Amino acid sequence: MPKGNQTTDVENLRQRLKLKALQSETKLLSSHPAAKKFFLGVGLRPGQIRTHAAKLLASGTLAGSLLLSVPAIPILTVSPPVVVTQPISSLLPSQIGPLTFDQENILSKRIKQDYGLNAYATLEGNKLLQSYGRMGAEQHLPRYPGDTAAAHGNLIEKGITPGLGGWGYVGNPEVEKYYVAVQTLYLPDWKTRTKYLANWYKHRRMLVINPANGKAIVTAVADAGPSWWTGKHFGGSPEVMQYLEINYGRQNHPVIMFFLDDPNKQVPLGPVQYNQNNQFNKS
Amino acid sequence: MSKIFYDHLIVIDDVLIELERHKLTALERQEILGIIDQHVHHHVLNAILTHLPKEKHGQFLNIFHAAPYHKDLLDYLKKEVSEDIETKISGAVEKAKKEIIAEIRKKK
Repeated sequence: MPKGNQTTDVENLRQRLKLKALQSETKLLSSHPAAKKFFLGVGLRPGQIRTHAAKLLASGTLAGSLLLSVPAIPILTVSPPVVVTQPISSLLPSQIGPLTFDQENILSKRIKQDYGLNAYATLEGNKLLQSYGRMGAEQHLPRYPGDTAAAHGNLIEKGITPGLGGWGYVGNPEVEKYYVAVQTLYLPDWKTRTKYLANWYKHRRMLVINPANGKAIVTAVADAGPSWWTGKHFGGSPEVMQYLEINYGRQNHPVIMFFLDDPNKQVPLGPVQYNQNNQFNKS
Repeated sequence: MSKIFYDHLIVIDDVLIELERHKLTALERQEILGIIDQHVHHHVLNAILTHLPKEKHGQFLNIFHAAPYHKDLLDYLKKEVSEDIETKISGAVEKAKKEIIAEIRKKK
């Protein structure tokens, strides 16, 4: 088919589908006056709900107060105040999912208290879709051309990925040892700010905590994923999974994933522990 | 990747297969899928509001707007709607899909 005809066909299809969408929107709003009033009030068209959801997830501006003002529906639980004796898991909602701004703030304070680290769900305006989600097991990543699982020396039975990580050969062995994968591809602005975001996320320091046992580890982003259909939100290197003790069963366990605010990279990669002087040290 | 609480009820593989015949560029495909997504949401929202008691519309819309992805919304609808809301949503998706596929198959 000549290119000109094909372009006309596509434009024609686009116009017809837009008309169908407009008709269904009109039907929706004319059938339900309350919905019409509501959407007008919030300045949103009903078909834009996915874009709106993406913005909410990216900004973390969940309307927690709005949710909590509807007592009939226990959508999200209120996090209790920070008390040292409470396990960190008690600060999390019962269901895995995006946290509210308040929940993230409380967790940041608790992390500072427990580990002496500055870690946040939002850093320099960047935010993952979820800061509390499921982490799955990843294989070793190639550090250089010709790298093998055996050359990693530890957990070689986990294998090595046939392809490269999201940022190519990892290079730094410490980064590979303690790497995580995050879902950068699903960030709402990934397609429009790819270059900036790819650079920002490359080897970005992340603090990962297993809320079930309180174990925490400083990691670096070196791969993108997992795919959304896996039901997992993050991936962890064999060493990360092992240290956090989530390398059992289906290897699909909840973790807290916060950005480490450490511009000078003074905090080394690897496990962190709390000691009596409120100083972290490598174990 | 943003999720809506009823996304698991939306399966549009057959629409995607129909679209393949148009040899769309990535950008064209993205735009058209966006329009299709809007159309499906209109149908689904219409079905939900049709079956949800009117006095609950404001409450539902407020929560849906605040957390469109929250799984508790489906439980809420199951509680408030006397009929099987998942079947109603799936039915709305099927209806929207039929309309879309018919448009895609039209010659001009």
